[in-house]
Amino acid sequence: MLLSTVIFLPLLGVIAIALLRGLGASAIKSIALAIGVLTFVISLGLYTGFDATTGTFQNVTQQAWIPGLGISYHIGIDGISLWLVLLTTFLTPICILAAWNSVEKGLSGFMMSLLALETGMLGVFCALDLFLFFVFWESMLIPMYFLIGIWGGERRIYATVKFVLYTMAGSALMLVGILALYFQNNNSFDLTTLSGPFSHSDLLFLGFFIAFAIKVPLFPFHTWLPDAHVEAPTVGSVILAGVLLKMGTYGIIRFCLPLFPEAAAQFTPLIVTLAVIGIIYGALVAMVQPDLKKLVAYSSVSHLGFVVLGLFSRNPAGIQGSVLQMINHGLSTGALFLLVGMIYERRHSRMIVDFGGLSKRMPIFAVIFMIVTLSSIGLPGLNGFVGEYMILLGSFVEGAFSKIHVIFATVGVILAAVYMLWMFQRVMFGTLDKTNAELPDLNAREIVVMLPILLFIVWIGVYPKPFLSKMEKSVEIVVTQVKTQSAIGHLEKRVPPNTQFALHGKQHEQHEKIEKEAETSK
Amino acid sequence: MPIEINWQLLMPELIIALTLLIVLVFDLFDSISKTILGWMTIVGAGIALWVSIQMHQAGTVGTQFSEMFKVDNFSLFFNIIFLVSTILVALISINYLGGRDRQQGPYYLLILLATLGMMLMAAGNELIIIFLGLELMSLSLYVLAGYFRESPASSEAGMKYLLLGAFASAFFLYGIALIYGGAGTTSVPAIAEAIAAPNKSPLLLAGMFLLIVGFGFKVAIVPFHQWAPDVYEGAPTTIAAFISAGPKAAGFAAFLRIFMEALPNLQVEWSGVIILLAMLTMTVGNVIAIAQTNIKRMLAYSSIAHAGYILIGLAAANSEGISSAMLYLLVYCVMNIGAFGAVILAKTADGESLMISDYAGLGLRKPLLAMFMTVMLLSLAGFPPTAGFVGKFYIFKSAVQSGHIWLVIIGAINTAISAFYYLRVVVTMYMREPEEELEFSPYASTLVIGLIIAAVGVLLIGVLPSLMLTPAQNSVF
Repeated sequence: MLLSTVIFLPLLGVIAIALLRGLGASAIKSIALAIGVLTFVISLGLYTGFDATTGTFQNVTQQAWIPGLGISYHIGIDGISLWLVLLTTFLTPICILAAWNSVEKGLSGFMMSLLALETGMLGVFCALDLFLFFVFWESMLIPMYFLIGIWGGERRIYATVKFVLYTMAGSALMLVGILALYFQNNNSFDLTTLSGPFSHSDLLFLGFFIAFAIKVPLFPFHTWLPDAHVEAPTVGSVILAGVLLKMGTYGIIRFCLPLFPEAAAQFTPLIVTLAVIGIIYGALVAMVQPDLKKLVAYSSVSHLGFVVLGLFSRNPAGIQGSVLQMINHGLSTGALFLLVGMIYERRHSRMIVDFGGLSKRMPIFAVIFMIVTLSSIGLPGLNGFVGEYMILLGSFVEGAFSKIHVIFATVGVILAAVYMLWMFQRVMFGTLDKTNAELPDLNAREIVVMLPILLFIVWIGVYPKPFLSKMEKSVEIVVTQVKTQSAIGHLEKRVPPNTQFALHGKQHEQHEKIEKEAETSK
Repeated sequence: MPIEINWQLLMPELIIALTLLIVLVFDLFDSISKTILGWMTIVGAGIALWVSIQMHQAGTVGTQFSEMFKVDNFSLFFNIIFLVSTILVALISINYLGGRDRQQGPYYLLILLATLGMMLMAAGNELIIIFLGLELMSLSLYVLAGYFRESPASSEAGMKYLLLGAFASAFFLYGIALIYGGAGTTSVPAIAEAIAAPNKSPLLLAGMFLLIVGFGFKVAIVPFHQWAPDVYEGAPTTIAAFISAGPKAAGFAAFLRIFMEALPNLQVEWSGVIILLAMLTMTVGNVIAIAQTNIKRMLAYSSIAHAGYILIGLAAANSEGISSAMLYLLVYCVMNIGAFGAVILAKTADGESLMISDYAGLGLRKPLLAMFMTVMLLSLAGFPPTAGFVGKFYIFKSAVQSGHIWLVIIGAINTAISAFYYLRVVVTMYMREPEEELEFSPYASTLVIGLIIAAVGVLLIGVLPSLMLTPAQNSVF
């Protein structure tokens, strides 16, 4: 019930705004913000009520929906989706507040789209029925389509249509995969009863994976992303980077890895190669971008490459790192887009050459920007470091895939520092241009928008344990599903104990167990 | 020998016939407002609809007239589709015909006649009865397509439809003749028995292919679709809506009945053809629709593509396939009439605006209209949570069940293609600025009622599909 409330409360807000749109702009904004904050507060109950000693689905509701087709309204969260749900409910009110004064036309429609989008995204993370998942997956496209298409920049129509068509092309194949699974699952769409091995699992894996890879986006499916990001309004970019891209990586954890472990193992070299190409390519392209927003957009391609890399290491450290990095990326890239939006509102330009020396004029902005930039680079002590470190560690474990991949991926970390710091230097330092001499610093509302994000950026960086401990068991379950079904002998899972990530004793045991199994199987 | 007539079985048809006569008689009086005839049509069709639903729920089964006429849940479900279409079309017609007083009587009369023909087709248990129903329907439609005599486009549409339709009927009749030659009977169950014999006469195969051609014309399957865009464009918009809905459903009713009940033993022969036609119809319809600038033509090609999706249900050739085709036809009729209704609603001082570019800026200036149009188009494109998504999903599922994965993949890719042109209209309405300020007429009341019914229907079936899914699953013969 609690989970359903969280999912559908924003939809209630949509209806409320539709009915009360006559009340004027401030009323609409207040309703939207109230709904957003309320949803977040209620969703905190999911965190406090979450039992971290077990990784199974919690807060489960199952109710017959379309019995004639074996479809039920089945939702629940585990330690992985918990974080994505919280990320969504956390970012939405921030977005509403960030868009407070920037929407000129159709404010009610904007807020309605934003809230409808929240329901769609939450549904994707909570659905335990394949049909329900697909319904949320597709229906979330429509509000995003409007957000980019109506409130976006100059080439918004091209960008939004491209975004929708890319996603639809991917989901068309996923739909076929879902249907094919249905008949191998005793005519049921229930995710929790699905267990392999499935016939044609490699094709099914690809059907799902391509849909998710487009969403992530994995190189070479990424071309929609820069367009969508650049043309989207600030808030659209925040949601897009913060949450929507995570739907792809979430899909990989929830479907591709546990359902088709053998196919996942088989395709790992290819996928990991693409991920590494994405990391390097995204970073190199980001480096030469003259447009701030495009730079951040390409940095997303690079960062998401890390997440995919960690997922396909198929061991606890890598996957936990990936899940954590999904949150981190949501926070820091979301924050970057917010900051870019804030200077765009002041200067109506996003070109790096138009700026310089802003730190003198806008000190508060400069400090916040610095923290977020460092977080994005992965400076120890801030959130990005923990995630990236765990991913690289997990990937370096012998047998996951070749070390060359990891070495190249590590280069991406350095490149990230290059493009981010160089960008920061050009925007913040140097001589202050005359046109920028009168730019005001952040106002109270903008600081309120940024502070919660900064809090979590530091918190995760300094003390990630509360975050990791809730997801640990669920990640373990995913890893066991991957391991037990894929041939252990093939993968040569040898984990020297001394490469364990110090934070986690539990993983240690997990690895030792697998190691023993591997030996006994010989 | 006296014929025992079970009047109860014939209730829906009789009510429509009676309504038809009442409309005919009242049309004689010049003193009454002709709008009342439209309302009579709606009430008559409404009562027939209610009776059909009752009979469907009761599971009424029976044959009549020496087993030539068969009432079962299959025919009753199609009655529901036809009557819903008729009611919706009448609702969108009342204002549309507002200024044409003298023409209203025959208009509703012909719509009711066509409806009666469709009901005969769905209930026909005998190829001749099906042909009679088909002709009754088609002849009424030819007149309706050319209904606006003063408009050259409308006359042209009527003429084209008549010529090509007559060809199609000839093919169809020839097919019946050949099947009669091969099987020695025209009764649907008897044909099935006759074909069960091991030596399949080549006459049967030839007849079967001719039937496919005939049906192909009637439901606008590629490559027999060329008439559709011209007729849709030229015909009065309400009639375009009507032709795209009920008659297509009736064509598929007979298609399903004949191929699944009379010719199941030829399935090996026909399923390949149907699969090929389904792929072609979807792809050609969707690809050509992309190039259209006129919304009526776009909807024409989209309706061709939708015939392709429905063919997937037939190609699946299992009970799920039949019920999914039925559910999809119902959904399709509602959303397509809704889309045409929205086109009518977008009326300017100098007539309807049919160019998609005219819709620029509609989202802000006419939010209600833009919303109706958006709901219908999203449903046609198959986005959840609309009925179009559920219908398509169910059809794909039935085809996967019978192992036609490739057909489903092509169908799913087509869905993505179709999203492009449906969304383009939405893009124009919400995201483009108008080039010239068009004065849109105020909303017409009954039209809005019709659109509200369609929109609520589309969303309701989308959220609670079981409402219509369970009846459809119970309707397989």
